[in-house]
Amino acid sequence: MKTLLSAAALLVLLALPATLRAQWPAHPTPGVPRTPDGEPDLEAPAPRTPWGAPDLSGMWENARGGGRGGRGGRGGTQPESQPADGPPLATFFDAGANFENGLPYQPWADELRAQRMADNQKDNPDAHCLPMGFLQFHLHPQPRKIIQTPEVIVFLYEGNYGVRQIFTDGRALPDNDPQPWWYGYSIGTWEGDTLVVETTGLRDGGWLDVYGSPFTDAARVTERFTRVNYGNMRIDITVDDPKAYTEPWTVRVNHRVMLDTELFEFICLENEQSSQYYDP
Amino acid sequence: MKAGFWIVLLTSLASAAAAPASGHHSFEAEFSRDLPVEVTGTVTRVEWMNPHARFYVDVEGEGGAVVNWNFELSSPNVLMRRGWTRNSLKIGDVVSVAGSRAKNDPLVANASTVTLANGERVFAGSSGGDPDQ
Repeated sequence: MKTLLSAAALLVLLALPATLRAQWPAHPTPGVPRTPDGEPDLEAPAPRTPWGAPDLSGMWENARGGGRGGRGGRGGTQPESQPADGPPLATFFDAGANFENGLPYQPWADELRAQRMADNQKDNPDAHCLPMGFLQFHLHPQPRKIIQTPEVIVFLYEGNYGVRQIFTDGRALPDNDPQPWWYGYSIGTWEGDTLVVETTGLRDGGWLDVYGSPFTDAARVTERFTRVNYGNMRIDITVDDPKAYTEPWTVRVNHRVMLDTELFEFICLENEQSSQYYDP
Repeated sequence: MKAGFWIVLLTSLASAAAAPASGHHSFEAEFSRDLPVEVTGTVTRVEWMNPHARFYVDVEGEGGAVVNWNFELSSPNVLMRRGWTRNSLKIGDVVSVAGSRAKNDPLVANASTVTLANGERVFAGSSGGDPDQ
């Protein structure tokens, strides 16, 4: 039995590591803290930028992987258990997976979500090569890269090649009825070692998760990014959207660092054929 | 423990580890698990493109008529992170493919397993067989 278990473990190990050997020559991530035996020390203190801010830059992946998990979930590739403290963990499929009674939907929003599920999520913007909602991007199983300067922090998402910028130059959110955007308009400030991001100006009709939890143009989103150590980042996301929800709610997403890899190109429309076969 | 249990366990572990879980569209929006497909034929084209890699297979049907199947895989980035490349499958390869057919087209399917004539499996970790694709 021990041999079989070892074989099982080996199979898992063989299948899990991301491989780049078929893609590019190796470019190891510089500056990785190491344990005495030379392994990456993911528990080492979070690095800081030359200008003294916590350094969020680098390649990151959702700590959960691609699983559904949580209430009503069907298991996942890398299940993540709900910790005793902290907000409920969201999943890619279900933002409210770890809420005892689900998200506090307004009645119309609950009905819309049910309809989106009944339609097999065929109208999810992602299924038509359009940008995902901000929470789907946070939870997508494919990598994202953070580029940080003193004035702006940029998120590049491999999934659907999303791009998001967060202004950290001290500007305020726009108050001149700006054009709503897929990604909204985001400003960030530092509270101690936590980056606090406020976002407004989102387009109406959004999808927070694959099951279709809605968000509207009334949404005000607050995200708190904390790199707790070298290898891990915690993101607490509060959605205040009185059109779609009866009260604000908060979920947590955990990211872990990815080493020795880069983003792959993902041009969704280069050969999109699937949508012509969706149910009418 | 019976050997069968371990085979099931190993297979489950392997497929769990290889599950791609990318997210272009829900499996059920396009395909039906109630429409299983199993064919053997010759690869005529490989499209290593987003949002899904595809390959096309000439399959001889009853009476000798040849039809061309369009098989969907996961996205190239997911497949490449698992070590597969645009050259993993070549025009002229004879393959056996199992998967699930599209609801709205009789010659379009999601490929869950692709096996070469020598028994080698390609594209483990494809979108097929994973509802999270």
